[in-house]
Amino acid sequence: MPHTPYGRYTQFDTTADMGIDVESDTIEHLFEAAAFAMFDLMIDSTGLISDRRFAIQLESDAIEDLLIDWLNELIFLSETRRAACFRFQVTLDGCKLRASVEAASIDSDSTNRIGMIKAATYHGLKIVRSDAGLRLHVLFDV
Amino acid sequence: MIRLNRLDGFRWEIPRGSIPGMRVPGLVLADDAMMTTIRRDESLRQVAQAATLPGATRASIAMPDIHFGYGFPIGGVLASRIDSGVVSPGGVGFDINCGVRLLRTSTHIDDLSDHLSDLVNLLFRHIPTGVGSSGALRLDRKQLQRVVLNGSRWAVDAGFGTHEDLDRTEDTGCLQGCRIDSISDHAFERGIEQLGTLGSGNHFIEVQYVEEVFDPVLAAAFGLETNRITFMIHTGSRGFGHQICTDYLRVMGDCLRKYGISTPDRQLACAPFDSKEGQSYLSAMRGAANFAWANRQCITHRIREVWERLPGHPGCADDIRTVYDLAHNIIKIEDHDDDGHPAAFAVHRKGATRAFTAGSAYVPESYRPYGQPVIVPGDMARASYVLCGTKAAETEVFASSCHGAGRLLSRKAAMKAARGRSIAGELNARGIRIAAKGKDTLAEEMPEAYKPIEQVVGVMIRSGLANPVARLRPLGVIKG
Repeated sequence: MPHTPYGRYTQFDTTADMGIDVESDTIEHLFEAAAFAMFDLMIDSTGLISDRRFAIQLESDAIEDLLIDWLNELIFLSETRRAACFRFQVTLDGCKLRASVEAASIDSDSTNRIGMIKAATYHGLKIVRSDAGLRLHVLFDV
Repeated sequence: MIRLNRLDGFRWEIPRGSIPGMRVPGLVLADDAMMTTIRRDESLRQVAQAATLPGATRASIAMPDIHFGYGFPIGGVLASRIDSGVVSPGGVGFDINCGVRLLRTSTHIDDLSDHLSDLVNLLFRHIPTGVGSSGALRLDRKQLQRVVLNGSRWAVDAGFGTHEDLDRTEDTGCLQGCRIDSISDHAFERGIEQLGTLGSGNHFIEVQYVEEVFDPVLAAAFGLETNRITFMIHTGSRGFGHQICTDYLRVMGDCLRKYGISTPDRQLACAPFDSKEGQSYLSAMRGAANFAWANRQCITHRIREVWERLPGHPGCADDIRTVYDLAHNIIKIEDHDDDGHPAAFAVHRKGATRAFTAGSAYVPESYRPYGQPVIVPGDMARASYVLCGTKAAETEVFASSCHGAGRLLSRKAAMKAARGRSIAGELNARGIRIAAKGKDTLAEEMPEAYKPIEQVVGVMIRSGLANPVARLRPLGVIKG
């Protein structure tokens, strides 16, 4: 299971799509690790240097909705700002999120691009708390 | 394990009651060999889950290219009565109006053979492909709004096509009833640089030829002649449509609570057809559908430009004519029979196409005596088919057909199967020229990653739901 600075994750695949299982110690780290793992499906961050920073604020009614909003906002940023995001700092206050995201500029011809994610889905979405921490299961449309 | 009753050699029923809340049974089209594969994933459960949606009528249907999706399976058809039913963005998917356009020419395969590599390379160079591809057209926000409202007509008015192209596009390439205020700023931002681009994944442009004609009358009506060159375009609404689906899945999640609807999977979230949210989604979905049709129209124009400029080949842009363009991820409001009475339905097709027959008002006038061409792309190496729907398809499966070969292997499994092989080399050895952008695209999209197309269309034909018109063989493939 690969380690991120925020937690551990594995990738899984279905017939047409891909997803991630993530484990972390806190809910903030879980959000950060999920973002890192999602970009790991899209971008080879080897050699990328941070040259941009984004501030994100989101609010939702439920933590699962907030997680999907967070991942989909990052997909939006990646596509419209041509940003390969690879450092994340998340602060949560209930279902309010504030985040700082570091990214490298990347164009569609870059060899660092390895795949595309259209969106994070709600299919089988789970955030489970246990004595060992938190676990997340999320499927992407690729 | 989902219970299945065999109805005949190609029809399987998932009885009501297989999971709680099913309003109608499931109907799965497959032969024995395919069913063995289908049972391996959760797609049959997804057929049953779709059957729980309010207004579901007759059956939750799965085409033979069915595979695991999210919420609905890929290859799913569900008709929900508009007077008592719902609309569900998960029944369309993220790539709204992903679809296929088939173009024909009068050029004989022998006259292209010396120019095929040049043609593939030029198409790859002139049509932006790949993840996040952009830059085919420079539009401002007002222009993009006109694209979204007018679809293919915007492109033709801008000089990117002919009126015949419109006549031979489903709904003439424009769904009326899109309101700009139903679409988010995020969607416009994602779409603004992507018109005229192919994208990545399973999207493609193929240079093909008509290998065999099965129905000379229908083939002649569709302009298909043995050994003539054709082009096939497979793409959709790009990031614009992805964002609209994302936005409305969020809205529909709230609707479940608001309208007291229960679904077994949040990805099936929906709203009553007549609700503000349901109508708002349909409005935005129509905008995405129009974007997709304009996208395929702009790519058609670019193919014509390349054809005309192909060195050493006396190609003429006018020689490339549209056979048909159809959607395979969409909701359409259609009239169908419901127990002997006509009724209006929101027909959800996710990885399935329309297949209306001769005489239907849904078939363009020029094809009405014959029926609508049903275009079924296969994989990169084998074949694609042109079919035509039957009366049985109208009465049994809401005039629907399969949309392709259907994925068999996951991307990882395909990568593993491709390890140590050169997929491009193998295709080249079969005479198929390839131009692809993504590092892993060819491996992920290798022919073995898909079900054999003959098996899929064979089920449609032998079950009496479609008739074969022609088989097309790939000569060149452009991938993102």
